[in-house]
Amino acid sequence: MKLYGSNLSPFVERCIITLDVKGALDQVEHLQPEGGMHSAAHFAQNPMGKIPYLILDDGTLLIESQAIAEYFDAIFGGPTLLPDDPLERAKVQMLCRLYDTHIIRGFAPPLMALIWQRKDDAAIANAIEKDIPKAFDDLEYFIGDQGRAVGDAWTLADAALTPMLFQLEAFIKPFGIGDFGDRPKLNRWKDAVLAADIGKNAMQRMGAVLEKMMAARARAAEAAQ
Amino acid sequence: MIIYGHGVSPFVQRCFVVADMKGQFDAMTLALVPDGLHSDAHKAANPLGKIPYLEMADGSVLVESAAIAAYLDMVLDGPPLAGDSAEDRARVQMMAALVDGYFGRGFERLWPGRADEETVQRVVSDDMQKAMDALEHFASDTGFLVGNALTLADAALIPWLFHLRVFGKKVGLPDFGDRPKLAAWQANMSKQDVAKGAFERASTALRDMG
Ligand SMILES: N[C@@H](CCC(=O)N[C@@H](CS)C(=O)NCC(=O)O)C(=O)O
Ligand SMILES: N[C@@H](CCC(=O)N[C@@H](CS)C(=O)NCC(=O)O)C(=O)O
Repeated sequence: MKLYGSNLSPFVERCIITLDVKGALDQVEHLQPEGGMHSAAHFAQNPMGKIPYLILDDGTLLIESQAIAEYFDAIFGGPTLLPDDPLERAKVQMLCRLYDTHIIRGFAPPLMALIWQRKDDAAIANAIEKDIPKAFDDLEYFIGDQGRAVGDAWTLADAALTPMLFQLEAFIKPFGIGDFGDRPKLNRWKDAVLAADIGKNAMQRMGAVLEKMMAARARAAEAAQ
Repeated sequence: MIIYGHGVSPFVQRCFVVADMKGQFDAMTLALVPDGLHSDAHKAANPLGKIPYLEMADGSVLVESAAIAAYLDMVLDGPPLAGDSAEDRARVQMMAALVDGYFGRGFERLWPGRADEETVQRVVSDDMQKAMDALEHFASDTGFLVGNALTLADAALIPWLFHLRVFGKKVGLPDFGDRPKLAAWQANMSKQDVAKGAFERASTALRDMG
């Protein structure tokens, strides 16, 4: 089966981290949409024009990172990333959703500026002053305090939230928020994740793609002069 | 179990639709948020200031209707609603994510007082069409969103039938338009007690709001 999309997308990286925890990175071919994002070939494969998308060997298309990550968790061996206990499991799914609804909306204006080069100063100011601190406060309330997002073992909640650590450093820090401030649970979680290979691998993968993107941009700017 | 919220909210109704699908409607009670929406009590329990939320015996609070729905599916007796095979489960989640991320997210802006006329028209003619196209593309053609039986995906979309009829109609979006799979779904749902129940509860809740 084939997974499409750049590691710089937190939604793609959620699926990749899931595979990494399961020791199944070599079970899935990881590719970029043919012809690039939003090419005719991309829309032909996934009419939503989004990443990630997964194409199964029989041609079936699956989209939505959470659905793909849970699918990987179900079909591959290795540690399971969804606790059996219903309440623990619900907490995992809730934290994944909080990334999708809260964190990403707060992060969107700085991300738009740096990745897609669409800068909206008013939206960025609002994000830095209001939305991001509020999203962090909310996350601080719901995240666990035993080393991982829920409990003490890797779950899909860590897979969903870990890309946020890279985004914070690379995309939010230039606008003024570089850490979680005075939020003890988030700080403890961050330190624990970044001390582990799974966390380091994710930072390394996302960093490598960003570096490549910046180098290509610099070359294009030079050529234009 | 007590769900805090209001019966008009499609996210609250989704939780009750799930309980109803399990045959356990009476396991759930709906309570208004203490001292009203955004009160101190509300924020202490759920700092997001949203509904629905569920207070658990260990003092923790569950938010996000998709997570609550999956939780109820696990703890209540009755038919499983999350899909049988790994692939079916992925489809159920994918459809529910499309309902939340595209349909619901667009429709919220069609509620009275949410957006100016120009935005409303743009949401109706762009965002909602795209959302419905996505659902149509990925839905089964069986009268259910996934496979041959009710799932959590149907539970996510059922509450919106009331919103289409009441708020959608006012802005020219009374149903799913010319989309055969969604039309078959709507026709099938109009015969299902769980969908009729959700519609009636939302109607009553709206009437009570005055
Ligand atoms: N809810 C989706 C979100 C996917 C998403 O928004 N991906 C972005 C990249 S981070 C994308 O493809 N954007 C291109 C576009 O919106 O056209 C998921 O979880 O997979
Ligand atoms: N993603 C949330 C959405 C919940 C939501 O937006 N609820 C609305 C009512 S329909 C709400 O609480 N609004 C009050 C507010 O936003 O302050 C879920 O699925 O539970």
